[in-house]
Amino acid sequence: MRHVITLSLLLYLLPAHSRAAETASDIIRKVDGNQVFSTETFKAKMVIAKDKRTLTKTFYGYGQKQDMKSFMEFTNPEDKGVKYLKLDDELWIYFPDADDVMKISGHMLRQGMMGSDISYEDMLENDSIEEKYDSRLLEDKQVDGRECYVVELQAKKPDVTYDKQVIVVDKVWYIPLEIELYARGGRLLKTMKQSEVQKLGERFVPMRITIRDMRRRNSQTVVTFEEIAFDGKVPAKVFTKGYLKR
Amino acid sequence: MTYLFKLALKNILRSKIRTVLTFLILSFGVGIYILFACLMAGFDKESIVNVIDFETGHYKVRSANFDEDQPYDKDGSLANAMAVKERLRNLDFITAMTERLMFLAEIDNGVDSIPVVAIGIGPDDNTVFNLKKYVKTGGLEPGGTIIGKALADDLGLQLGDVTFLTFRNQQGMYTSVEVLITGLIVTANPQVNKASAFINLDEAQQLMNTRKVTEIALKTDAFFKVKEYEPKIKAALSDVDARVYSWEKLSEDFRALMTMKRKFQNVLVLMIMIIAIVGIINTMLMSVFEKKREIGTMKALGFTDKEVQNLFLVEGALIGVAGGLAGLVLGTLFNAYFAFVGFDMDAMFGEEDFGMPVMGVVKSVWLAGAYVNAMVFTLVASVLASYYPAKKVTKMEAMECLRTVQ
Amino acid sequence: MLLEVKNLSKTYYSGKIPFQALRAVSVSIAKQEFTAIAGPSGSGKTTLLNCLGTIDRAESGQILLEGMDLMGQTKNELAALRKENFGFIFQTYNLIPVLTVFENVEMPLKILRRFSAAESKKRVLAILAKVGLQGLENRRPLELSGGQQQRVSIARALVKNPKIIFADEPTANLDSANGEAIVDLMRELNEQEEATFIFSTHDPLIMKHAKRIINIRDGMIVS
Repeated sequence: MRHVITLSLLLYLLPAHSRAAETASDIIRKVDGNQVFSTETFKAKMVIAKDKRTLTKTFYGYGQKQDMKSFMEFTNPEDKGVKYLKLDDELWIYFPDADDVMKISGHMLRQGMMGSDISYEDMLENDSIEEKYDSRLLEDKQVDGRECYVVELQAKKPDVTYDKQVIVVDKVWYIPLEIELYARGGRLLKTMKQSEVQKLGERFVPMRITIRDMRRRNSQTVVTFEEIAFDGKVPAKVFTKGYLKR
Repeated sequence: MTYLFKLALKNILRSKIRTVLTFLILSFGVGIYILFACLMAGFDKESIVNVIDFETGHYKVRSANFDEDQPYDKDGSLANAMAVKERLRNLDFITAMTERLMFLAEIDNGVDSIPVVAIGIGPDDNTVFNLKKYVKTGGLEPGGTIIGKALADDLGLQLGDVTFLTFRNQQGMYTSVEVLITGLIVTANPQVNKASAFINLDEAQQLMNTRKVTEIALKTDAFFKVKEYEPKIKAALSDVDARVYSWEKLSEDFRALMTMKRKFQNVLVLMIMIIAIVGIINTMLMSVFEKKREIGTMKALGFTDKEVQNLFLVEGALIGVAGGLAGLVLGTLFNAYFAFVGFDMDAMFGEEDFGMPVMGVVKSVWLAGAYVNAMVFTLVASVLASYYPAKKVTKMEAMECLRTVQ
Repeated sequence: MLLEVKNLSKTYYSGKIPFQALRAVSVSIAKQEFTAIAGPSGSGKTTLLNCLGTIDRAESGQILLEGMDLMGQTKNELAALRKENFGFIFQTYNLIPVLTVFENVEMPLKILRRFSAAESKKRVLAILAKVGLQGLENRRPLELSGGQQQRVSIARALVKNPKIIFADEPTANLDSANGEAIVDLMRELNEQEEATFIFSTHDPLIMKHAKRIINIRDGMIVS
């Protein structure tokens, strides 16, 4: 799941060798270095708040960084057995009620995953685009009392997903605590906040991610990791379409 | 035969109340049928006009890559609209053409966002389509949009309000633009009312970061000449990336729905007619039993079974013809109202659309076929309905009939 | 012989119970006879009359009209035969209520299709005069008295000059004065028109007008 959400949004924040903003690229590179792992295993809870209603969903999953593979299965009663499989740039879903595996494509990609503020498109973002953004350092700011750098990324050409991103990075942990995603035209579309950072072995891991679609004022999605482990053994069979149906 | 005819006529005129009742049921049935058929034809005509005027034009030219199952999802725009237009200019039956750029977007008010199809239309759009007919208030202005009234209601927006369109441009970048609602549209198609936003073509192209268009819509001098024109258009475009769709093809689904609905209507009409036929059968049976002794007498006098049977068939046919003719008059009167005054959909159903691609006042048409059908059907049906009672008469021995105590 | 009947038998079924209405009846009728078939009700006189008039079918025996056997004929053949040769007078007159007196009497001529309109009119008016109904041509049957109606019925039976006229209890619905008048009329026409009459009756007053009486009891001729 981390892979699916965080990395999807962050992976392409790879070093931008900009002459003007070396510091900024350093920061980004360090953030990226912080994310190095080969596999991950997690158990998480997703709380979707819409107006006054909240939906709680639980799931577990695996990720494999190298081939951009991830798998997750829902365990809360309403969605029990719903499985997602991401293979490179394809997304497959299995509904136990229909006993059918479906590829998510076309206009469905714009919909939120399980009604959340995370669109399927977000889950598929893969572009690890170097040289697509100009980065520069803005004025530092504090988030929850912690000192942070503020890096602004500006797309060089209109061929990336977001025209502009603003990333607020913790100066000690090198973890983005806030990410703002802007559309062409300057409008803030999405924000993502990471909090409850814990130290797991050598690395710092945010256990809570809050995503908001700014076009839907009264909704937000909070993902809380209950368990998370890196570089353990992940069963290879879960990353196959055949496994979805079982 | 003339004698039988005379006898039958006298018989009919004898039992006045019953005859009048049957006659009324029959004529009412026929009248309703005619009204129904004509009104439905009016609906169909209006629907077709709506579809052509608003959605399909006479033809559309799209790229061969256009995905009909998931329209506008992928890049299915015309590679070379200029080349297409140039070739089409040589066809003299094409009277107008206009370009449209369509793409999927989301419209939002900062609270909710709703998926829509954004349609970029050029200044010459009115040469092919008749958008004006459906725009309730306002119009398309620079930096503005016309959205469905229903969509505006859903978002709590009004004319003059600002809204956002968000979409991914040709290269995949999220683009969000503030647009002013300068017009509200109400069409008979709920899909359009709830999920479309018209903007200016040049602005659409700029936002999408493309110079392409999705389709070129054509108008010809005669929309019904599909069989004649379509091959010519196809031939003219054989060497470019283009696929031609006639309005017939484009409205296939909706016309299939129309046909299905008509089948349902036919069942209703059939039921009315069955009631009328049962009426005739009943009348004839009563007539037969009432005249049992007369039948016996006629048989004794030397009428053959066939002659007696014919007498009743003629009787039934006379009721049928008379009822049918009266029904035609009645139907004409019914239909006259709807043909001249019309049927006000809004007043009748309000906001409910029942999936009918029509709205406002729909006028009935005069359908010669309905008259012919009604007349033939009534005649055949009434003769058939008399057949069973008449057959019963045939089987009876003269004696049996005469013995009847009445 | 005009009409010869040999061993005619007829059984009715009321439900499954058989009732033998005619038991091997044999009788002969000559031209211009004025014959009464007499007997109490249930004796079989009406059945005999109907069988002779071919509006009922006997199951065995022979009916010969001028030597031609009628038993084997089809329904249509019999209808044509009746049209040409027989006239009927019924106890309940059985006039067609929607037709005028004139039209009722005209009906047999109409279905014979042999007469021009003028000739047919002449005949109808002549016969109506003979039965004493001139001036009532345009009345409807229900506007007439019982006696008058039966006169119309007689005129209808006679208008085509049939070989035989069958009359089933022609006076049963009339008072005795009217009844006698009707039989007198029939008798008169029997003479004038040389028509053969066979009628059934149980009324001794009527019976005495007959030239010949065939008594029938329990389906058998007794004298």
